[in-house]
Amino acid sequence: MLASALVMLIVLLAISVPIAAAMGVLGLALNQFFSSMPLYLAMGEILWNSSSEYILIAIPLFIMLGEILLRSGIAERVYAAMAQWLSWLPGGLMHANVGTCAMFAATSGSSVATAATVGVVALPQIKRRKYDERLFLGTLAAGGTLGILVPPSINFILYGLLTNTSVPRLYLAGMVPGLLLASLFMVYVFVACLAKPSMGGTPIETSWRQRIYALKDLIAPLFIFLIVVGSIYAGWATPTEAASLGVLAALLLAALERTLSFAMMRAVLEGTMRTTAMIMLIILAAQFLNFVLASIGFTDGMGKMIEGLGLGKYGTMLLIIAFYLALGCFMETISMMILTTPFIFPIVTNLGWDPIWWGIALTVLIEAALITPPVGLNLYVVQGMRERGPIGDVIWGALPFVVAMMFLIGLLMAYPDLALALPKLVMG
Amino acid sequence: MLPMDKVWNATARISRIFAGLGGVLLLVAAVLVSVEVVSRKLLTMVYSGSDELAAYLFAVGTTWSLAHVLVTRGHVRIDVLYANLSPRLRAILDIIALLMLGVVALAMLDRSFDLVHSNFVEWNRSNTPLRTPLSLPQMPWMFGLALFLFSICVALLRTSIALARGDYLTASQTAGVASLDEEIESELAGLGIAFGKHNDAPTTTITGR
Repeated sequence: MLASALVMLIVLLAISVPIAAAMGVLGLALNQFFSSMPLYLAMGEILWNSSSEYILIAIPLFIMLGEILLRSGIAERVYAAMAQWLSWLPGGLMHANVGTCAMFAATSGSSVATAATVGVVALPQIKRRKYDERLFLGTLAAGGTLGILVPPSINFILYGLLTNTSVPRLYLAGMVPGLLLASLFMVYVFVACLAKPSMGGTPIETSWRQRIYALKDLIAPLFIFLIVVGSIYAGWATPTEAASLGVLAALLLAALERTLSFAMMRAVLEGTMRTTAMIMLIILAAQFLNFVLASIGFTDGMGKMIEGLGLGKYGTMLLIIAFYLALGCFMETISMMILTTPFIFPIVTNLGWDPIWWGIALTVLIEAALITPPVGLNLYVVQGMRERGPIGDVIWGALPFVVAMMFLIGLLMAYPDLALALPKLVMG
Repeated sequence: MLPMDKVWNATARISRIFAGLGGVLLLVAAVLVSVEVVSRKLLTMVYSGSDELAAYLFAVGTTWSLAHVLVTRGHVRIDVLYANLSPRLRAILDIIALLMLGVVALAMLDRSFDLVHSNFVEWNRSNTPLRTPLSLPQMPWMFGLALFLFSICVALLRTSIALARGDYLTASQTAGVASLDEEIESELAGLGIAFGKHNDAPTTTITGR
């Protein structure tokens, strides 16, 4: 049963059946052949309960929040402000790339949109200020991935739902590793530019007056961030409530920016619902498949098989990490997470890893998948906005950042408290 | 224009409208939830139930948008093998993909019909202070699933006809895997970011104003 299920899944995916359909068909087939109970009858109930799951509403709301912010022209001004403040460092604007990406990622939660928005403003600077092209492109592609590790990451909400872990705890746990990763990126740029100053381009000329003046452009994203993340941590809003407040605050900002219009809202709503329905169909199929897998004892069988390998806690974890790095080369990230979690999560927790800890480690692995070829979405986003040049530049430029992510994974394995200490401290 | 194209275009238009309406429902949910949070915290005026209503609006909005994702080829597929096949084989895989999606959508509709039907006949209410008759939000929710199945059938028909005629362009435009470029472009649509076209990107805004 174990083998036939896995083979069937792999065949369905290989002939490019949509991921949601592959999971649904697998669930139906397993129920047909391996179950003594008519699990199919429970499907309606499962679908409705997942469809109307309260915490899931946060996902489309965060997507909508990001869409509104990006369409309101706030990103460009944040980048300009960041540039004023960070450009004296060796590496200049490249720190602004990472900083702006981290900040936008924190409010929008979409890696692609973040990389694209910052990329448009930043790319022309390569030539103007003579930056090392590969390094510069790498900071853009990698900076954009920070979005899913810093709250209000959509990935954490999905993970929380699929594994019954607390989303606010995941948010707290992601904070330190997220900041650490952003710092690792910046340290790498710093060191590279110290070693080889020609990579760092010419610094922009600025004054304290200009810097202070630019601060006001940072107020908008800070305002949203405080509303969304602050209200969750202060304990007076659930992620769904915080996301609702964030959407209204973003609409208010867009109105103040005078970018709110019917056409803009229509694009926001359609874009939001397209992404939402795409993700939700996979979730619905996954919930049904999870139910079938658990009922027919697949999950237990899988855990026993892995235990039988005798690799131990750390050996198995290394194997799983290798598996995700390989899978990330040809699979889109959110579907990868929903698809694999039912299979991998029980193994990981059986080995004694903390569910919250795995949520963070998995997210870093997914970030790496975003910038590893051939299906690293962020690589193509950045490449698509360049004027010319081979994609190899972006791939090589992003590679050191993948190494930084692996380094973070190693740190997390050695010191799980990097992720776990903050939630313990705040929530007990 | 072929009659099939007319049907297809109409389906695309209708599903787009429902996706937009679904977005409006979601926006309403955001307003309801925000009002409750603010009134709870600032006005000490307690009312509740927005969570339940928001959940219903979200459920309905989601299924109403499923057809739009299908028509715009947004359902995620792995194309490692697919990308290296001939147009004819691709069209055949597209049809298999639609059939599988159809099986799942049919099962979903069948099971939700049973659920909604029994909830309607027995007039079951939610186990909450609102005591909402469950079939009320479930009926529009189920309609979204039906619209999804319908759009799959139209896409299946159009792709099959195109394959029979050897019109692989139409087949791939109906049900093919969207290329990465197309996918990114649609994600950035309306952002004012020209993807792949080398516009004169703004070069100012860096050195202060």
